[in-house]
Amino acid sequence: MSSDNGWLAGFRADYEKIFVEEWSHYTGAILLVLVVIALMVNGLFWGVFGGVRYWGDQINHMIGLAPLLGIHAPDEGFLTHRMSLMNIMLLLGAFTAALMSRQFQVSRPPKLELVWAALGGTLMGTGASLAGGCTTGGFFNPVLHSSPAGWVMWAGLIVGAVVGLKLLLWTLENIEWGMRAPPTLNTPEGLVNAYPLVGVAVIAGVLFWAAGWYGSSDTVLATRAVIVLLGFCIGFIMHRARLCFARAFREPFMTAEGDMTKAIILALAIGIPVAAFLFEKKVIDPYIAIPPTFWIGSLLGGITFGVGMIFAGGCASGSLWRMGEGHLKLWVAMFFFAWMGSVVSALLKNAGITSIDPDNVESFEVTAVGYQAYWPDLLPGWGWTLIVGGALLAAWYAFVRYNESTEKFTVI
Amino acid sequence: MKLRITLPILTAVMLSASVAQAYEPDWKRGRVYYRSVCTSCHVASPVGQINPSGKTKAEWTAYLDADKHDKGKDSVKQYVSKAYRASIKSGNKAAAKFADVPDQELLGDIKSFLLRSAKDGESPASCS
Repeated sequence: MSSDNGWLAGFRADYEKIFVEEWSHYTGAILLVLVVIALMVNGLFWGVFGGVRYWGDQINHMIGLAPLLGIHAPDEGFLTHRMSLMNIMLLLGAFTAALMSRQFQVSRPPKLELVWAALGGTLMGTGASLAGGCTTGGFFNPVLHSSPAGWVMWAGLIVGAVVGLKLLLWTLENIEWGMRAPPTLNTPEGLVNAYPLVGVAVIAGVLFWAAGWYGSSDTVLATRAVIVLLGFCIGFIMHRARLCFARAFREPFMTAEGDMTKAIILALAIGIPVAAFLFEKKVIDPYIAIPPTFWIGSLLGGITFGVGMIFAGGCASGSLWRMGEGHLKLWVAMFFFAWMGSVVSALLKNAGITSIDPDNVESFEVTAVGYQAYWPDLLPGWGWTLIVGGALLAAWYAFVRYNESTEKFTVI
Repeated sequence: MKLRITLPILTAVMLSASVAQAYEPDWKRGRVYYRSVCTSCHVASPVGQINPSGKTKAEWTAYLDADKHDKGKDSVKQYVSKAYRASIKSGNKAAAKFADVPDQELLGDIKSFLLRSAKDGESPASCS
């Protein structure tokens, strides 16, 4: 489409660069950590599983399982429950980014993939219940909040990713049923060309929505306005840079490629010290995002979640943005993740495994699978906390970098 | 000229603000006391457990300000007081742990916990 208007072509080129071409993972990681810090400044934190479990609680209420499991009726709606809203906005942000890049496409997986989605979702729900969160709330956030729980889940996720890859390999060699993909759904070209306009309309709608809530006299809605905007940004960024924790853990053992892993390491290297300032200046209480699962729950949860995310083809946040891009497999994975996450959470709580110990008189919460561990309270202050966090990130980086050159640790 | 007058006043104001540094409530300590003393007693009595998320922030504030416990038979403060803590500390770990905490501080901790956990608080909390 050449035009006489040279300047218009320039705008078009920039549009392509920003909204169509894939961003570098590193750009995405830096932007993601910026948004997460913005959430923290507002007294919030980024989480996914809390909202996923809330959806599962709702499913259990619909099918009548909730009373049997002792799940209370949620007293917040889909759009007022903070994590549920954050997830909906993440999905919407990714959907918008997919529209603007014309990459939105409803894709149907082979039958066997749907079975793996259900299995993976179930394992992720189980793992997240044990670890007190998914890759976001159980690993990324605690690491950011200087809690060793995040690092223990990290170790579990690595073990789980390796085990999951081995299992998946076995299935590829031994299972032939349901491998044929259904034919691609063709979207009319006219519609695809209109996608960017729809995307811009959604952005305008989201801005209008956030502004409306922000100015609302209802204090709950006013505080939720921030989530509307920032959740949307997280989804948009994750789709544009194709950020994925599952890939960060999986790829070094599969193809030895370490870009995604290094991007996550970069995000944490920036995030940990900035978050430390926020805790030190009492902008936010670090304990609000530290799960009481150090270390047993984090480790077992990490391993289980790790296997699950390999079969599902994405972690929690990764599943959400792929859902926004139109992948039906991830909708199935998310359904089971939510439903089973709710069921297993309730069962573990009722069994007294993840329930808060009522006799504990420490200032941190204790459960049967661990406690709320926060490095600055366990080590002699921030100096050591940052040294330990930095050393672990450096070790992870060194391992990934070495493996990129030698491929010594690939299991395929 | 103006500046010379304002500066000392400003400095004085700032100094007094830093000297009169109010006690910063510790909601985590409030949580422990609420759970180990208030809830454990309520569960044993016919009242049953009282969920922090059962009241709004305004309702909790009003309740604490009114300082009426058990429909006014006694006061809330009494159950936070050092004397009460001393009387139950042999059988209550939290009371023993916080035996020497000034009444006002502990009351502030509990209030801060209740406001956080109220129906419209930052993180609504029930007992279970």
